[in-house]
Amino acid sequence: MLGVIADIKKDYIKKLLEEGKRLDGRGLDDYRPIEIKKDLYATAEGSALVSLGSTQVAVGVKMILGEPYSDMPNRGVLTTSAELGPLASPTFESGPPRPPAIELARVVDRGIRESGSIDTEKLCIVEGEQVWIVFLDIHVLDYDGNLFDASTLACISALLDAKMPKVEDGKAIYGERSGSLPIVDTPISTTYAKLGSAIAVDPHLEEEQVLDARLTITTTKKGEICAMQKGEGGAFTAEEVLNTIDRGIEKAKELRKLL
Amino acid sequence: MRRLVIPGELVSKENKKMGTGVARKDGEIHSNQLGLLDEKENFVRVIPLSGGYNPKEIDFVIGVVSYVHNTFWKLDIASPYKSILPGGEFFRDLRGKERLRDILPIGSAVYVKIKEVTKSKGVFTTLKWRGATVLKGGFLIEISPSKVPRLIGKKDSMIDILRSESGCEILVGQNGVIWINGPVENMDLAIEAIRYIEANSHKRGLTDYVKNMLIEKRKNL
Repeated sequence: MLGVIADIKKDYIKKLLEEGKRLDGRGLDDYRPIEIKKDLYATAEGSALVSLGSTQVAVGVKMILGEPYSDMPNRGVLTTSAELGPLASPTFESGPPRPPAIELARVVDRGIRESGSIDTEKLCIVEGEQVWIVFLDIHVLDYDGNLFDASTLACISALLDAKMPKVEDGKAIYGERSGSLPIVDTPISTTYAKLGSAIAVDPHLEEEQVLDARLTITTTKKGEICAMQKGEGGAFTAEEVLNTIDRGIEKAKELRKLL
Repeated sequence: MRRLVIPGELVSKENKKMGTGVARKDGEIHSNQLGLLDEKENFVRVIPLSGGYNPKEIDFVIGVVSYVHNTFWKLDIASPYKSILPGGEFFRDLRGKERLRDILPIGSAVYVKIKEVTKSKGVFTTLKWRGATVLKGGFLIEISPSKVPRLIGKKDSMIDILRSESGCEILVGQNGVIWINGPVENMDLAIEAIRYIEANSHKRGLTDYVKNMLIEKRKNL
């Protein structure tokens, strides 16, 4: 595999995008085929495997009992982490998370946290002493671009799938379940890539390698924006941002039907 | 049909000439790789199913400039081994007047011949060879280097059909990097055909199938 991106490759992808075409024959507003599988891993409270074209992301939800933060004594805790292991791509290496993995985890976490997706007050067991800590572990299995959208979809699917363990005398019994997690909203993220003057949704690997700038918009059920992230060195004009947000909100409604 | 062998599998007990992918131990020949066994009366080799590119001195490859030094370019040739294009191996004599980074900046794609592979697997390439060129326009796609012989075909049969029926310029590097240039619709056609060949390289009658496929699809353009 070539490690350096040839200029002629970038020029060709740019030319195609500006004509409204893409390498894999999609339109600028089309996602690759999405498949969501739930309840795959028995040791996790909830799990999901999302494939977006050739990109594959597995997410597990793990819950343990712990202490709440002192400024939020009656709320459960959400922790999100992402791992880009060497299994997913020859460019990924094992070891402590690097900036791309940290960014991925933070953008996904922000979408779920700020949408108020989990009713964290219902995760409180004894105020100020004991609450549920929810771990969302994102494992990228196959990297073919657009990890943000695939991971957010996988996380929210895994949360919807999760069953809370029973609590007796301040101890969790993982063998027995006491209902689903209190999920009140389903945030959906849509990622747009800008190359030249063209803006396209769901960039695949080759587009992601050459894009000028990237914008991720996460929206709630009501169509409100709950998280945004702009990446890479290029720039969006104010008009482009507003346009892209409108496109993103519409697209998120379509994706939400898949959950 | 060729037999599928796995690494370590006994290939032959006779003393035969050995090609790639096999090793001799205690008078017996074993496979080194997962691949298809090519066994003749006095010769044996294993054709790998997949794997990286191992540079050879007769090969033409497509490389991308990854770094520019004062006197040479570093090329990425999709191989584990590092490759160099010395300034003196450019088409014309540069005489140190021009800076190499102005001639071929990082990201330039070149179709070069491998001139020398040293014992320590240092790869030296050259543009001073008939056919070698700097690539302008078009697009690069990558396939597994082990599928390249099928893409070219016997006596260039497959690549000739691809060129004539898709209406594109196509250059194939032995490292599995392929350069295609032409109108967008024709390039889509050529890419589709190459992907088909890559996925179905083991099938019989592939050349005729690809020819018919290209003729059919070209009608609809």
